[in-house]
Amino acid sequence: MNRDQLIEAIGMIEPQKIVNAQAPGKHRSVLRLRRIIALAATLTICFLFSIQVLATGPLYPMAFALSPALTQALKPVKRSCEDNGIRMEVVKAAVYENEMAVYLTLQDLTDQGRIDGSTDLFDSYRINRPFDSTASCCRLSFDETTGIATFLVTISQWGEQKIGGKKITFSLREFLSKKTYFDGELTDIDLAGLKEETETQKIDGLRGGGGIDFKSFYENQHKINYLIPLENGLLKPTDGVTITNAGFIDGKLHVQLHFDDIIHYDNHGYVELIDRDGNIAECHHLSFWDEDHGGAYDELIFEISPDEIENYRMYGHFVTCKNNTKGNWQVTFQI
Amino acid sequence: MTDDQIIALFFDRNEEALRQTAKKYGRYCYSIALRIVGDPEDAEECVNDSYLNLWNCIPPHRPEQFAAFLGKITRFSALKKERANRTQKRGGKQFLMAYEELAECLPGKEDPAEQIQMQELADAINRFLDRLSDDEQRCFVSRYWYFDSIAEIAQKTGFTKSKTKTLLYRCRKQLREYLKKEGFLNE
Repeated sequence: MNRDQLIEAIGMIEPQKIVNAQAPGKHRSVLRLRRIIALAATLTICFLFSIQVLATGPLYPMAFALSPALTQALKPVKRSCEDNGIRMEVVKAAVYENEMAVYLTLQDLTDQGRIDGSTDLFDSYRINRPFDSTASCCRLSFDETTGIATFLVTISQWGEQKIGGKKITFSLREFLSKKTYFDGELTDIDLAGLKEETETQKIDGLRGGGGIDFKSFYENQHKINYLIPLENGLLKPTDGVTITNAGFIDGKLHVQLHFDDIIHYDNHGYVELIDRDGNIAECHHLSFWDEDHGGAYDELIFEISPDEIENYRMYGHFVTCKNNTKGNWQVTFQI
Repeated sequence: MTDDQIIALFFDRNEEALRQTAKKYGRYCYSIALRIVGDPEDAEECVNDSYLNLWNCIPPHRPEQFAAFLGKITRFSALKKERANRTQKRGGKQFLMAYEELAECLPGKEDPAEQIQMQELADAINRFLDRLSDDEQRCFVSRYWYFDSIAEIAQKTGFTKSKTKTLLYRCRKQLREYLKKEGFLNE
């Protein structure tokens, strides 16, 4: 076999996989426009199958963000509203069959600086249509001089249901801002000093996880032994994140992370172990709620034995947030 | 116009089918072709070839996923063009980078598995992709089907570039192991 054949074979994969890969923001932004869909069901779907709940991404290449038909249908709207000292303006919008695009801006009219370059609409936007839909949002820009952040929201109704009606109401419920990003080596953890854990716990009711062949891993979750979090944790690399314990269980390295209040602040991240040759160790991660059901634990299980640990260094990558602003921003416009 | 309506136009042998396809999917096809061939004129030519191939395929074929089917045809046309160009060292940067990366999944020289039917290999890759998490599958297909750049995949998924690279590295390593296990590669 050569590379051309491999490339050709990859070209023959199932159509649904091709479509899934191209769907913008599908994994992180399934908006449930029907109020009757319970939050619990959404959480189950999102978490059990390791769907990433991610922060709004940075600038998105415009060429691939909108279909040509949607681009052509864009019309100026320029309608705005204010609540809680925040001004939301729908600048442009377009509807084409089952798709909709909305360009909007947010500006903090107070001196609190709640809109910044990390502002994330936190999947709290919606349009007043009765069908389920897939939506995504990207932050296009942030102007430090004016304090205005610009976003593009795209919404596709499922089942090719056309977005009908002349009047559309776009609303926003909350947003995150003042995020901090941590990327660095966690030198304060003595990897060589980590021990085989004799006291472990079982977890009943995971909220999700990930890794190669995770589904079969998930099916055997009842057999997995987890670390018991240390009272004060091992390390607090940044506000909102604690490495609560690390050690070996059944010959594999476990590292346990705790993220504070993920429901309101979307704190998330991971650690990775890299050997001297730059190879990153494979791992599975399993997530479960803390006692308050506000924060959550992630237990990462690395295929690293006590004999191998001295070859590795540990790095952390975390995104945390300090500001969640709530309000009732709503703009109705004709299209 | 919906995909079903466009397909109906093809079945009616109505040339409006091509206009509507170009209107709805022109940019999609062009972006696929451009990443592979790296030259706007060549990409344009590949897209036009794809429309012609589409016209010849439908009917009798009725694709269930029109966009994916068109994408496949475009990718095939562009790969054909790129192979013709390769001796002149022409080709899309992202394609060439992804092409080099896939070398990790293969042995250094040709082996007996070369005789294996392409469809069997494609089926194995499908099974491999089913084992991946949704994010991993999405990143892998973005990189090695669409030839998206690392930065584009990172923007699309919300991951950092570093995490995207790591994830793809793991996928390639897993693919190599999987292909070995399935008998497509020698130990």
